Amino acid sequence: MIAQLVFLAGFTVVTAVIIAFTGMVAVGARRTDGGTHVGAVLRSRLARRSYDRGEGNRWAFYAHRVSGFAVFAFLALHILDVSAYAWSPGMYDDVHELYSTVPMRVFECGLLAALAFHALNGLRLVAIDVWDVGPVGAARLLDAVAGLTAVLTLGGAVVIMWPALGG
Amino acid sequence: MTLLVRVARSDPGAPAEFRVETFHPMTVLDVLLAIQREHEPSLGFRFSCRVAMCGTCTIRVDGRSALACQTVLPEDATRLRLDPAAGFPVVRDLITDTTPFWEQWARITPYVVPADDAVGGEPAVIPPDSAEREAIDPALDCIQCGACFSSCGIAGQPRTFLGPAALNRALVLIQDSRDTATRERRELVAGADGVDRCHYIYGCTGSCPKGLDPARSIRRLRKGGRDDG
Repeated sequence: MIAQLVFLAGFTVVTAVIIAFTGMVAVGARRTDGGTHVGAVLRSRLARRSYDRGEGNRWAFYAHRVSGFAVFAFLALHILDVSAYAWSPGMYDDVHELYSTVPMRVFECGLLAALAFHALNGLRLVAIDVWDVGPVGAARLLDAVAGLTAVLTLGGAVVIMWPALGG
Repeated sequence: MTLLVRVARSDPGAPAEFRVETFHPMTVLDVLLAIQREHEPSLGFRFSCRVAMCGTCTIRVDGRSALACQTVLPEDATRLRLDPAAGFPVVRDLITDTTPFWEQWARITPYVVPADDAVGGEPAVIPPDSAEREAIDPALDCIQCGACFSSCGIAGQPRTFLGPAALNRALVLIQDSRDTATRERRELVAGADGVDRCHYIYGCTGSCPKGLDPARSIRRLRKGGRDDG
């Protein structure tokens, strides 16, 4: 029970740090390039087509940073909770019971989305650098990244949520 | 038709929304001049040549960096949002202090440094159809308006990234056979503030009013600068 509370405290801290980092990225974006307009302006910017979809590359840059940091922060926590096995297998089992709860499974779906986007967008950046695809090509590759991320996340979500949904 | 214009103002109490009668073709600079003439004489903005040559009137039009004098309103436009160029300290309203851009521009020594024995000699001849000229041409014609710098997600205070314009200029000079400062520039563009800071947002290429492709120049610099990459 105590081990679970410690884990949840650590998890809360990690979540807070991820949210704080996202805020830092948003503030920096607003200062550096006037990005992260919200509401109607955001929708109008994201709705731009063809050549103006360079705007999508900008949002991909911010999403890449946030998803990378989120995956790293959770990985750091995960290393700690897995290392609980070194102290006590019972403690390890206690902590990892939490992973089978519905809220944690939902979080894992989000983590999968962040991981998939970060990995695929990283490959996109390599492709841009190697083949000089230009802004329009980069935007098309981003469409592919978004599509693949959605497919991977939905597929993974079914597998992750299946036991909790009585499957 | 009436256009509703929202302008970022330094003074929070100053009027920021204006209704302007449009005509076609009407540029954003025309809109600003109409506001200044008919509604708000104290509105601050810069302009000079009116023909996209001087690079003075860079602002953000609906969130995107552009030259006010070159940006024509769509005929069906009913709303317009104008902000100062991003990445620069705001002096007043739409007027920014472009020092961060010029500081980075100066770092790459943005002019040809001739050999000592070239001074006073015959002018160098680089034929228009030479490989050297063809490699330089696509990156020439920068007017230093700062639109690319403003549109870059990395460049701008407090960061020290050289930025798209300076790197584009560095590529031009590295290609130039008359120049003798190539080694220094190569060290700078390969350094901590150089090409590796670019994350291919393509804001620079998308916003350049002269149609240049600084992102491609950066990629060419990453590959060595001399070839066509």
